[in-house]
Amino acid sequence: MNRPSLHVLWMYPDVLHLHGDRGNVMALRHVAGLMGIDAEIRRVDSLQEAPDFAWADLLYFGSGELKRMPVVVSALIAQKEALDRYVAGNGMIVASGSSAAILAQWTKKTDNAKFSGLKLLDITCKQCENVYGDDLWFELPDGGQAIGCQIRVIDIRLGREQAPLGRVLYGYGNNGQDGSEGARSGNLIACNAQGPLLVKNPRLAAAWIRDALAAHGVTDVAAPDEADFVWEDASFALIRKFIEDKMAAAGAH
Amino acid sequence: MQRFRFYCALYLGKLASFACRLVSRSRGTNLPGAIALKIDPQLLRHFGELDPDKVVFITGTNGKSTTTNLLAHIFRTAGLNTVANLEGANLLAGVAVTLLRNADLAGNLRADYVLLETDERFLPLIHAQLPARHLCVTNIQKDQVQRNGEPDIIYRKIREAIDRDTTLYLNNDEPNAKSLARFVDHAVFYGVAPHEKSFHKDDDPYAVTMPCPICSAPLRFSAYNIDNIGPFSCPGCGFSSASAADGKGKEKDGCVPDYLAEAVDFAKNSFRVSGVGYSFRYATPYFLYCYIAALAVAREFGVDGATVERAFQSFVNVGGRMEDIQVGGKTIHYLRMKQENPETVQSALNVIAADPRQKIFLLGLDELVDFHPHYTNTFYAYDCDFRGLIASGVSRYICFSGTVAYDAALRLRYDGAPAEQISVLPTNDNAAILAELAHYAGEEVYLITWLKKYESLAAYVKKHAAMTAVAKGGATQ
Repeated sequence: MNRPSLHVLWMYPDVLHLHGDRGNVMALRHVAGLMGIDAEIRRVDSLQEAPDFAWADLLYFGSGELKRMPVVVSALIAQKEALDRYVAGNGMIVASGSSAAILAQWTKKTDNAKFSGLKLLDITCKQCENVYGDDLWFELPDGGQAIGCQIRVIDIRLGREQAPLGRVLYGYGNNGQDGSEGARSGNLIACNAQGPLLVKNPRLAAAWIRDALAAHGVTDVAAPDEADFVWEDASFALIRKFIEDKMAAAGAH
Repeated sequence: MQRFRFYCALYLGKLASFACRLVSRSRGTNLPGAIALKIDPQLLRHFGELDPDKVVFITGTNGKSTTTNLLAHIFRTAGLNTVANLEGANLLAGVAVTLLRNADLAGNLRADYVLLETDERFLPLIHAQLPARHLCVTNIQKDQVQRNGEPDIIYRKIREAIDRDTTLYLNNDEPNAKSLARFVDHAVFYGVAPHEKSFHKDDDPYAVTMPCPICSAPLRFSAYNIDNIGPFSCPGCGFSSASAADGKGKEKDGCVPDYLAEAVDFAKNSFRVSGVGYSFRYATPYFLYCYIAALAVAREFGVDGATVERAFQSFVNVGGRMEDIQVGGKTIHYLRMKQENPETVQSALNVIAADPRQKIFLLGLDELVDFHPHYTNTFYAYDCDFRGLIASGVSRYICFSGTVAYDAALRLRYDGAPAEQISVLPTNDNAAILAELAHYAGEEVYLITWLKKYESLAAYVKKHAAMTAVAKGGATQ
């Protein structure tokens, strides 16, 4: 029997180059391997290149400087027809951190200038005056939890019908106010936790891999062995304790 | 009234500075300045005999302290009456302390030249009061993301402090720094030709460069002298380390920087600039950029090459980056990293990777406690490539930290370190770290961690050695 394969398009890694987000690409390959899946990563380096969306199961956008987002959006609008087909086929797109602006309706900058996103998620973004960095602990609709870190440069507001990706247990999330974290519509995902989120939360990686493959008719996928995640679980426990101590200290004040 | 306020600030600041120094020579780098600025918020503006044409700011993500120290040493070797903030006090208050300590009772500066290391974020504030006409930018890279967010934020801060008639001294091999030349009429470029320690990333499928600061296209590096610094070009707009980028829209191919370190010989601690030989005691690719930056500024201020070389020969860096600890028959070679600063981690990894001897590797990533809230960011480890280190002959990896030891271990495993060779110590306890280290044979040990952890470990070893010596002395009496 042939092993299933996962095709990942890593979108503009040199342009969206912040926060060690390549760790997430490494994790997709690693966790897929643990699930008996051959992951193939292809880079889309040039902004002029026509990405092979028909080949892909998952598009990954790492975090980038907010200044770069309009350029990336323009590059993708030039490929709109193929991208629309990919989205209509429930292809998965994951955008980390500030790259939520790529999927958003629009983003307003501190100088009040606005730029449009691809309007794939019903979210709007607003550049913040100050940077804020903190741990981010959130719960997913299936009851699973994830821990990462967030460097916030934009606030995100969800549209009325837009579902969040999860619910903040600790940290800033979309805007520090409504308790929402990220956004998800079908297989289109924006997530504020950056860097090696999927390294640290391999079950989340496994779930996204399953969803990406299911959209393309591959459903017979093995679950990874829980014993493979001993260090990840130990990390989760340590950092959860660290966060709980912070929460207790804040409560004491 | 304004002058009265200035004198009050000056005298109280001087008094506070004197008091601080009575307590400790190393203290008082900021407090007296903060007091003086409270009284006169425009303090820097009011010093007399301060000629902006003779003031140099040195800023950038990495290397500004060493470059400032080197430059000050060159100026003083040349007999120039120079004031500099050599204690790393690079915020507004620190700069104020430097000036008030070096002013006479009339508020006039007792120096001809002022060299100031300036924090990138505070540069516009400092520049607003003290509009230096000379600005040296070492590099603009990822650093302290909890407060800096992204390099573009720092880029815009530095841009605020640049006037059209500012003379810029720019790292020709660092794209962000070089691109600042667009904003001035006169820029001086310095750089380093590829050398034996330059490297490539062609074999790394996960290699990431950076966007062009001018057109956002992905940049290409033909070699890296240090991470993300080296000969580069943009396929989008043609901006490159070989283009003039003189701020007048002229780009010409084949341009050589004004000061280019060539024929670099790390074994002989030497390099050449325009055919003239220079020596550098701290022979690492990182330090070389500090040397060539300081040389470029000094030469433009008229210091001759022979004097620069004399200064290089006698220069001793304050708080050097590479220090050893002897413990239990092992030598721990310390390589300093700055948290959330991947270039410093990568430079340290490259040093270890270049040592073919079998070694034990201690890695102390840690939670971030510099600012509130404290947090557990290890992003920067994923901006670095550990494969060279892993291929260089490591017999044991020991990852320690109260909170992120497992994250560090995972990073090593992702780059191919065998899990069975990795010890994970979820603690910062020095005794536990040294006890784990003692389990493994091998004399050479490399340690990468942040400075405070190193200092804690070094102090523990020193204290422990002293206690052992006393105990032995007692036993023999």
